[in-house]
Amino acid sequence: MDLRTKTGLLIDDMPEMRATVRIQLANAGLEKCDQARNIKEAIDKLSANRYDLIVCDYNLGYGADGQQFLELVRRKRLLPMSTAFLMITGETGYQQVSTAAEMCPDDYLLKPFTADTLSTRLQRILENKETLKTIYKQMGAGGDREKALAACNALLEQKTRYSLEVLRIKGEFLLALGRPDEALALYQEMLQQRATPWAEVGRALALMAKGKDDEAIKGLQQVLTAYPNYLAAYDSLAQLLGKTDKAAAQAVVERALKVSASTQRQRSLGSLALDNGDFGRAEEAFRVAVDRDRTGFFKSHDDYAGLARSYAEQGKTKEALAAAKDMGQNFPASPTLAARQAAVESQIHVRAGNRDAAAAALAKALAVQEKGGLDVNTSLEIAQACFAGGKPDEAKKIIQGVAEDHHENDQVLDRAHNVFAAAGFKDEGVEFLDMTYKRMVRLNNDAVSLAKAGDLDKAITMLAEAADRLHNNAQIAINAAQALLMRVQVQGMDLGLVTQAHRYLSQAYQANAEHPKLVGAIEFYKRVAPVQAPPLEFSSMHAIGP
Amino acid sequence: MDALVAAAIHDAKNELSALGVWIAEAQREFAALSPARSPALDRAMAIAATLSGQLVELLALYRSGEGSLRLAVEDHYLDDFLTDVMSESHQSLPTAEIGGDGAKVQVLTNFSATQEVGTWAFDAYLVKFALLDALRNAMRKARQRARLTFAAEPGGGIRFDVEDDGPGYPDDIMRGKRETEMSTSSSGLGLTFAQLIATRHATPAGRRGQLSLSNDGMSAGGARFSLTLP
Repeated sequence: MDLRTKTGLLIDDMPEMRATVRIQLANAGLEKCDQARNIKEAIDKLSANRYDLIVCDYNLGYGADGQQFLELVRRKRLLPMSTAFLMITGETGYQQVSTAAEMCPDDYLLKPFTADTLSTRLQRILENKETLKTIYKQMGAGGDREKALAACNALLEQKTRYSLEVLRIKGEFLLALGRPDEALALYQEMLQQRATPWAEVGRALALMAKGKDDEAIKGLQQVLTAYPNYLAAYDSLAQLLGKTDKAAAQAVVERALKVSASTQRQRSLGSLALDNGDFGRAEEAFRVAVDRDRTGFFKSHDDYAGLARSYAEQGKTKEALAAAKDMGQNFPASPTLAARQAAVESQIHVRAGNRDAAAAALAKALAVQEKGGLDVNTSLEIAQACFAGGKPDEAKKIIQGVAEDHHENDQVLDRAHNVFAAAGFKDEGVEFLDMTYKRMVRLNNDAVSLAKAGDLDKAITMLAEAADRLHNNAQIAINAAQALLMRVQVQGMDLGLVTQAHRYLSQAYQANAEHPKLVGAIEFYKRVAPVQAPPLEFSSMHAIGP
Repeated sequence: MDALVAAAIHDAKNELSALGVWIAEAQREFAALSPARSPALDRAMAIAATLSGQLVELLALYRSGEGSLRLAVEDHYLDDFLTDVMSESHQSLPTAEIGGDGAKVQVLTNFSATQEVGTWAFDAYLVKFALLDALRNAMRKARQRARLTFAAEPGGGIRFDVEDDGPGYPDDIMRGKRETEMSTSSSGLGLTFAQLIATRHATPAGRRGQLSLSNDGMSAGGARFSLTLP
């Protein structure tokens, strides 16, 4: 493979190291190579350009590391799967990078290395990207999972040397497509040939998807005795245990932190400790999360809110208020930030017995909430403040909105449950959220039945009302668009309706670009829409993993 | 005190890396003056690499004692891995090593079984050091030839064999009390390290790796180092 035709980005905070690697890259033929000194520069470069290859040092200074950076840019969709990512690490970094599994780099290289070694590794990963490009093209937003699966099968038939990698990706697609039986068969066949940690974790995830949580937990525990540093196994195990036993989940995250102390894991430790009433430990975890990351790219409002609550629950009002204030100083001002801060402060004041201050802060938060557009965590924080401030009806109204908007998202529903539980309404919360969920399912089913029975106008009215209200519910938006397109198909062209369908599909894409029904709906639109209708092109967007 | 020792080892390893960079630089300067490579610099490079490998091993043993040695077990393409091992061995082994018969030692390889096995899950970084050390040892003891072979184990598992045609392992290593004997022989560090790395590889089903030593290597009585991974 000719590196002279490729473009690269080199990320390293040490000037000497950057200069050395730059020369080694040029010697290997990669002459078109931009450089970034820190995460901000790297993100700017990735936003503006498309690269074939990223070479990134693990240690990026200011509490940032290459693994967290990789996870960040994949989540933000700044790094398509077709771009190769090579991590350069020292001896300790490589363990954390190579066992992250879910978002691991294509390869990692231990320092010191020669120009020859670097060149060999680059050739290998670019060859891999080239061979698997038919799959990568279909990965993530705008991609079609069915086509990706077909590409996997085609490559498996060709028996390339990358068959194993293809199997690994195929397993992930099968899980994402909700076909756990096939995924399980794939992993089990793999494991019959040999033991390997990714297939063990995949097997557990397939069992979990089949509802066999106990078997999955047992499997993951066995994985961890054989591979005690396999981070993906800890993450999956903590997630599973968290459903029923948050204390056990906390213990698992504690163990994972000893292997790799990412901001993300500190955060999940902190929030589990809060749920478990282990406020001292929660304080420590959130403290590390906010202090360690001096770049500000990895921490979130959640970390300061969690820290403030940990203090407040221990009666440390002064420290809690300071943490809430810090939140405001560490992020750019926005209505979301102001609402979150106010909701957090209100709860601190309730706890300290300052009724007036609590009421004033809550009023401020609710004023922002009224305008809409807040993210899940901020809305739930306000709901929590409502419960604390003696406004349970307001709290339920907010939670209902969140649950309707995200009725397909278990993680969001779990967080909503936690808000009820923290306020002492655990059972009522379960019932409330269950009813909300069923109502959404019924709405979708009723509308689909109406449409099938030919009453498209009634179906459209129902779905459009819901879609206009629930901007984050991809399924509702997709169904609304499909009902509109069906009407056009049956009753003749109406550009207004096509345009409305376009709006709902864009809304669905924003809400969940990877919704399994989205690709089919987009194709339907393309078949029905006339030339003068707004075009629907998402495939040019950056893609992320399955 | 122990932590101090670990820190000192770590620093020394980094200094050795820097030394390696300067030796490579000196080799480049030499190349500008002469068409041949400098054997003295090659030799110096090999010594730096040997020392550096020994420090990696020491550090791993130290961490194991502290309970903080962490293996990174992931899939690796075996052909790529062995290509890397051989290319590093060319950089770090004394290429001019003279065998017992007064001639340069020839290193043979047989990696044909990698094609069938393809990939395997193991800690490539640590296993590579174990193999490089074994190769270095074999070349030191060989009369004419040493060999690195890859094989699939019949009951599942993979095996790396390093053999030579030298006099074989001395009796004290072959006798049972390996731990204590190993630590007093000249190749003790490498063997202790290899043993540790082998046994730290495990599967969820409970199988473990192992190191076995025998004197049925190339020619009658030559040493054979077999590292099996589950």
